[in-house]
Amino acid sequence: MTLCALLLGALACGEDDRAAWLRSTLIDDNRAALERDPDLVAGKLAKMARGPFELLRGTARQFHRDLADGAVGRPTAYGGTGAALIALVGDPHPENLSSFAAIGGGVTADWGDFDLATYGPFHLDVWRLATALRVTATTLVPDDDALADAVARAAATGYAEEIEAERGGAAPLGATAADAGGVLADLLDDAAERGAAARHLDRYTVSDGVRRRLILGDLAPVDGVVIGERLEPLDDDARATVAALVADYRRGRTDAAELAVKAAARQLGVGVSSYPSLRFLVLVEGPSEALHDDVLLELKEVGDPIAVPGRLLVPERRDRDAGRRWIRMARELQADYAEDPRYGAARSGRLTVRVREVDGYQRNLDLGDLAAALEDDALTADDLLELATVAGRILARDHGHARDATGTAGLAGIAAALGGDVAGFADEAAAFAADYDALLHDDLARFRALLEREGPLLGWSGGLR
Amino acid sequence: MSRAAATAAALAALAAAPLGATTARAEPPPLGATSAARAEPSPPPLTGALSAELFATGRQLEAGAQDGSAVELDRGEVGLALGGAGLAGEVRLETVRSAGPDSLLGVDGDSLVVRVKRAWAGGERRLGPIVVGGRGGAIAEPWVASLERDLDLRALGASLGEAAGWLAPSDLGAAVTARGWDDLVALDVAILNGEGLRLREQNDGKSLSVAARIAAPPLALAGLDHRAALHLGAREGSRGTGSARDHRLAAALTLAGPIGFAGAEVMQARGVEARAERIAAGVAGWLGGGWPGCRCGAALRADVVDLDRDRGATYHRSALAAGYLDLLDPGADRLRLWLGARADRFGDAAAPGATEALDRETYFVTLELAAARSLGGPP
Repeated sequence: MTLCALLLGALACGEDDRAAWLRSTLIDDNRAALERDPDLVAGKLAKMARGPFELLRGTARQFHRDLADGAVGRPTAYGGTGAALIALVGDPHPENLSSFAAIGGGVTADWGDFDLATYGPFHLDVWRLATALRVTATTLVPDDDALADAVARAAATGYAEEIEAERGGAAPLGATAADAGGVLADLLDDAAERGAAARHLDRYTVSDGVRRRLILGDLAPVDGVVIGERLEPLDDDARATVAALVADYRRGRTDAAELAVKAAARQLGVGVSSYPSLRFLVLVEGPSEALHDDVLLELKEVGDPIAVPGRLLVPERRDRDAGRRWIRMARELQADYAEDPRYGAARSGRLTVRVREVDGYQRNLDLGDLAAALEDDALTADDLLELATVAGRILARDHGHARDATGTAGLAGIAAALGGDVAGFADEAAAFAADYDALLHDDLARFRALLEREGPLLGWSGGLR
Repeated sequence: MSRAAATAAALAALAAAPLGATTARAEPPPLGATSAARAEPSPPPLTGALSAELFATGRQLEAGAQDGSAVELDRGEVGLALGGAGLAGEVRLETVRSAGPDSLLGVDGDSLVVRVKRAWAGGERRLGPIVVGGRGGAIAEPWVASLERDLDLRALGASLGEAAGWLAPSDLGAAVTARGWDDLVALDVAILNGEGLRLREQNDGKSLSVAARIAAPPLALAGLDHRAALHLGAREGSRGTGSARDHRLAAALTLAGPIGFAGAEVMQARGVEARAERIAAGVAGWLGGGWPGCRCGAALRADVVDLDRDRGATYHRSALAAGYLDLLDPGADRLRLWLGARADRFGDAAAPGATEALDRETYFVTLELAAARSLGGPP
């Protein structure tokens, strides 16, 4: 019997109902990309079918729908008016943890993707993180339910303890290599080395001493319909789009004179949820005409954030477009981070992008790296628990200092909602994560069956029905 | 007869009425009156009616951290209906916000844009006491249209099914209609895409929607005609690419007229928002009336919706009280100012992610304009 049937009653919920809902909502969420580039959506769906973690990453909007309308969601015992409009990351998960150059030097860890960032109850982020970490654990160490439960619990415990500590006057978590613990410390050390050596330019560009150009072609292996990572030359339309975006981005910037475009390419194969989104790497002139300080900008299409239940329209939109929403939420949430001076947003027609510099200090945690480390006995269960705890603390730190939708730092409201009940909060989050993990595994079987039965686009057709 | 009923009947009569037989301001002639005119040898030219509705509201919201105020255009519609010689057609435009609630970018920001609400062509033919017709295009959802004829509080909120998002007010499809015995009985059977106007068809299945309206003979209250009606509706439909079940069952009792109006609507939804397994249900009741000889009146409305019958504490309850002042003399046109308050309460599991931020009180001022004018006429 599936979890769905357990929760909703075997007579009321057939597997086909959930599969039909998955199919409909995934097509709804990818409609624009389907119309524009169905092959990329096919790649995304194939990538999502690889395993539960990939499915989790590709179904953040389904996760939030489930939470919002009660399909598997349940009320939290830790709500409160002061904690209902917190600045949310939207999709906190291990591979969203990135390294950045820290304000005081060195490298720090923080969330790197704010595609779904918005305002809402804080527990949505915590439950998403706990679920993602549980799925990470079950992916890396299958059949160890105790470990999976402990990892989810550690994330929520870390979160609540950080809130409690900060409420008591403790300094917020620094999250440098010294604070971050084993897994993240390795990531940060590696990032520090790459950043100092500016190795990011070597990955994407090549210089002959006279000029620097982008490396076009596959940078990572193709797996069936799934592109690893590829830089494609721009056609005329894309070239015009990039020119318009860069012009909009440069408008009003004091460093506009430095940002003359030297080369541009479309980047494919990156991410899961945003796999079919438009991404451009744009090589621009740096502070001097020398080749070593050339700047690589990433322009990434941004859409709407998650829909949060109960968010009223008053007060409503505070950003001109989704790109500016991304940047504002990133600046609001990220802490202890020497902000990328080239953060920005741009629009061309209905396309809105966020812009940031690609530098060597930015590296995402990668589940494949964790799996390899596990294989080499370089990763232990304690490392996973430590990762979960630190991830929870980073989320709490960011929620705590970021201003909520009313302009107030989130810490006091969250602390009041928690009421010091760290264990109870962790129990609630872990129980939810366990239920959703089971549902996700069921969903993976449904999703694979859908792809098998309906084809690589889940039966979507742009034509008449 | 209510303002909505008058407009609906006027537009319906246009389809069958000969030139000059209908004026928008006056009570439309009974359909039976048109049969003699149809017998005249020369085909009557088309006649038309232009109508407009506007609901503009200023709201003050008391919702904890989400307090605020806003001015919104709840409805802005203009329509042209043509009829005569057994032919009929309508084009009706409405305003909508171009970005969704969580979207940041619609058309030029989040502009109000005009879209087609209804655009259809059809015809009618009298068969004894019954007028049988057909229409195709972007047509009204039968239940919503049937109920709106007798819902005199539309400016304060849509009918239960539309307000809950269980029915779209119009969709692409075709319908067969039958009205008889001086409009005492009406039946509307429609085959629709099932996705409303927001999306084109998503699956191979079509939706069948049926609405029946059985009215009592006019009832005199304070010397003015009022009409009681029983409405029955059903829809057998599918939603989304996954063809999720999207069925509805509904019934309503209404009383509509210039002095008093009242009604109750119940609806069950089997399949909601592409979740085929979900069963939801709701009931709404309203009551109100104007003081004879006065341009003022008051109305009450209460709704109770259970968003998921399989779980507890998934209710959404709302209660509304409002008073109004008519700025024009009573007649077919209406310019009415509403002043009122509404309270919304949600069960703990109604939207689990939302915590208590959902509960709210709203204080509002609404300006309601409804007018219709005939176009053309006898030389």
